[in-house]
Amino acid sequence: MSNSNDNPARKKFEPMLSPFVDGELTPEERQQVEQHLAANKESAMQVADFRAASGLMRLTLEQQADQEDWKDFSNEVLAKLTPEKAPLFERLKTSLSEMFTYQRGAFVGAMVTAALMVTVGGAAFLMGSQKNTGYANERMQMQSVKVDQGATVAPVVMETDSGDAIIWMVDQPEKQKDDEKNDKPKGEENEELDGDPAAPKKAGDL
Amino acid sequence: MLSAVPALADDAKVAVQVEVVLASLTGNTIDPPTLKAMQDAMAKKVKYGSLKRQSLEKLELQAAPRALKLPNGVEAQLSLDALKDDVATLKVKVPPADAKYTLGKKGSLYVQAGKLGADDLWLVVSPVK
Repeated sequence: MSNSNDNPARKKFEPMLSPFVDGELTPEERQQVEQHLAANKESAMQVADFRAASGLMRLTLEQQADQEDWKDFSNEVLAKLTPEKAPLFERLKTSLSEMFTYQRGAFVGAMVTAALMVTVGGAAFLMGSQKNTGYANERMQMQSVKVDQGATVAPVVMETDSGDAIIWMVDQPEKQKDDEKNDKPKGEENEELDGDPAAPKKAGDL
Repeated sequence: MLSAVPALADDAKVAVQVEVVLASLTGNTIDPPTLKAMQDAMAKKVKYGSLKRQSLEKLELQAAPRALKLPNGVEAQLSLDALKDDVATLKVKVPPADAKYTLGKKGSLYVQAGKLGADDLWLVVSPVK
């Protein structure tokens, strides 16, 4: 890399680079520096370094500022400046304004969380208040079980302690044989099993 | 002959949860684990080693039968038979059986729905969660 002293243009502009980055030059000076930067790679790199350092510095300061509690900053300053307290509404407005300006992330996050909680809570309330139609009884109860006439199976109902009902289909080979012997037509009429020997039985009967 | 069947409004409907479960005497897989309740319920009669859910649907039943095709080709039909004083009576037809029962907050109806290979197929009608 060539020494800056070798380049008279760079020698002239080098002291202006930092003020250029900080925005302290006049428009004419700024234009001259920009033209120089377009032609001089070394100066352009130096400006890039200045900007990176400046960005890093700003980030560090912002992080430090975030760690500070600015909540009552304005109120405290105003309290020192004015012997009388500002009206409540004014103080609240200032606090909110500060919160939104300096703690925007946390403020927006809190608002979003609150909105979500309200939405979820409201939905849960609505769902809870919607009752299921048809479920007035505490437990289910079997009414009847039928099988098609000619079926070679018979239903057996078992009711459990937990209130469930289980319908097993048990083979009835004898019935099949009888049907074949009598050559009965297999009609569509249902065979009501309530009350007959093959009627649903309780678990204890099984 | 006229029977004292409670009138059923056209828009009357009742929601139930319907599962089709494949039960095997062999194996030891309960999938999903909630089917452990079914295994326990049936333990007095038969000890199924494996229970696997084939499907799960929430159905809104009305007077018109709702058909449900099972994996073994059997077509089950579910319908709302009556709705009186907020007590629903459902009709569950799994050929050749035809069952009628009143719904309750507790209790599932298990209906054996034939075979699928060597395993048993069950239709389980439960209250909606």
